[in-house]
Amino acid sequence: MNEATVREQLRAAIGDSTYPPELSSKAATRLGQGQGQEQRQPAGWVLAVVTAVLAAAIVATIVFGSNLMKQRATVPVQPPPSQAPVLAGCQNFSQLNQQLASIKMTSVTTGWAEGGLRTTDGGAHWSNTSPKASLEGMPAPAVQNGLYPPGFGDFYLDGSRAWELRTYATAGTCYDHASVFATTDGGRSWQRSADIQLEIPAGWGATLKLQFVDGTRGWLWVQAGPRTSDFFPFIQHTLYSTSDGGLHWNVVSRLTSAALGFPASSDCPSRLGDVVFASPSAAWMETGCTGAEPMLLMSSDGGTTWSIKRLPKPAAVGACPCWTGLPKFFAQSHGVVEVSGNLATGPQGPALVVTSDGGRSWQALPPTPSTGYTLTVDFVDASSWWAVLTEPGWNKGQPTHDWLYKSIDGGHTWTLVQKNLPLGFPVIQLAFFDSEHGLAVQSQNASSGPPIGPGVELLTTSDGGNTWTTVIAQVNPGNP
Amino acid sequence: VGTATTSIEDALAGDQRAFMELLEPELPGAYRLAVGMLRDQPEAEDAVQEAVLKAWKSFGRFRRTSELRPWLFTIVANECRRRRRSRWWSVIRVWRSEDEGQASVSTLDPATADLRRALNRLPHDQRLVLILRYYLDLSFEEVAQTLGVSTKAAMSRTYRALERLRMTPEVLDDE
Repeated sequence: MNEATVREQLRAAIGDSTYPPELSSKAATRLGQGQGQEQRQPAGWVLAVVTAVLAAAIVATIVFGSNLMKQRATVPVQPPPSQAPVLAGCQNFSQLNQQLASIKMTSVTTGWAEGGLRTTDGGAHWSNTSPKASLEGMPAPAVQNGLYPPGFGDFYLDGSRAWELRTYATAGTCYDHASVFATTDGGRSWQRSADIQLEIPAGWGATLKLQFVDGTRGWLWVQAGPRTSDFFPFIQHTLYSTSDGGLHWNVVSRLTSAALGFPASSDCPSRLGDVVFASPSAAWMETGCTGAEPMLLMSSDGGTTWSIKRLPKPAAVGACPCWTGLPKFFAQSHGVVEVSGNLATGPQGPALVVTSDGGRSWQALPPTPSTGYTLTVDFVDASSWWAVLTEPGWNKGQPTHDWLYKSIDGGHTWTLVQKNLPLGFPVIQLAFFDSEHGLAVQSQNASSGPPIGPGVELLTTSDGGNTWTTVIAQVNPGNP
Repeated sequence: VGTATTSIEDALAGDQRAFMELLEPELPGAYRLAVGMLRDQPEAEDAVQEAVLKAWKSFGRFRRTSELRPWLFTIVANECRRRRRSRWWSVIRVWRSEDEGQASVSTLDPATADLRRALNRLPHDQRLVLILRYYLDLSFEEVAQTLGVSTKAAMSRTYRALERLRMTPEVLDDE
């Protein structure tokens, strides 16, 4: 199906809309009424604040940038790749979804964010630790703008051990091979892997994802497919593994959904999603449903062979379509997966299904607090979970403060922690390090609206979520 | 360009008329976005008006070098999300009753009616990306700006949303 067909069918399904000519004057009238009730902050005032923030950012960049240069000692173990011509149309950089995405705190003070950003002061300052060797072939402006190498991926195991990934193009394909860069000292030095041949044809797109369960054993999940138009389907799925900390990689399996036995007559679409390893042998893959039952794919031999594991259908999730997320495991035995889809009984949000025997059996949990819509859930360990929900009966015109809940029994019961939070919408990420310390990343403050600056706001708590402090995070995204 | 620059400067200085002159060319697109997201024309009108008011209040943060359309569409999309959240039950009721045979659906062929139901069940973000791309004909760059993500991420989200509607060739090619 090409995009023209997609467009035609979607337009028919949505129906037409004729612009009401009086809407412009209505909006102007509403504007006048609204302006009478609440004055917009003068542009000059805001610009002054922006100027002050930018000035602070420049100072921080100078200070932390210079420190960064002193600390880093990149150690490429192979010579740089040749400057041979590459296939036309291959991007020589990639861009992350947002700044400060996917934060992983490994202690109260130390943590990582997507793109090799590392903090050692609880999130106030972030520095880019990415290896210089990974930037070869990138245009200088891209480097200055904090963009990343093509095919970029990363994984952060603890406070010191991390891996980054990039791809390289040749005259024949945009995704000829990949390299993994590994650090064991928090990004001060990096080792580069042997080339990982990807075998992706010309004209195809791809995504690559890294994962490690300890300092030596890791996996690379590569999904690729032809660029049929502006979007591309994944039809080639290849799993690689390493047992020496990422320096050498071998193919474990090549998969297709057909070979995995997805029911051909299923009313629900099935797909091969992301992979997570609970142990070096036990792996799980997100997918869709079979019939009306959610399912995962599981492997007990390190990803070589896979089989379908059907999960109980939570009461809140109706018939097709439904989707299973990527399970999260704690100590191999306990795991949880979010199941979402057509809402059968109300606005609960994703339903939770758990296992306590390594995935042999799964049980659907009772709904998260049914007072509102579940926006996000954070799993600290097998028992300590946090959830942000909309306030009960929330309606337009009312404050938009969401409510924070905590569970200490693995989601069986929930306790309201705080309902007068500066948490706005959407909360992009909620991440607790322990029972007291956590952070939230959001794009809009419930009280003050969108943050001035890079587009996200960071809040931290050190008293179990009762009080939150806004952190003006300073990010030095510049590559060396 | 000079006029637009002047309008931006005037609007930033607090001139509502200049602000509306800037926004007016984008209002049909904003309304189409709201209709696509809310499936309710009076609600869409109200959402656009509210979004214009919010845009005015936050216009001091608008960067001169940014494009107005993605910025406005972001505000409209957020307003639509807020309204869908706030009236969740009524939305479900409306969709279900519509699904059960009101005139607007009964005139559709079965495949299109099925697609409409599936589209209605999509999460906000996935529905939004499809509306922007295929109902408003935005480029992926504009979709990315509206969503505040990279172009690659916008393409990926589009693909995932289509996948949920079974409109990608993956399943067909793969099975």
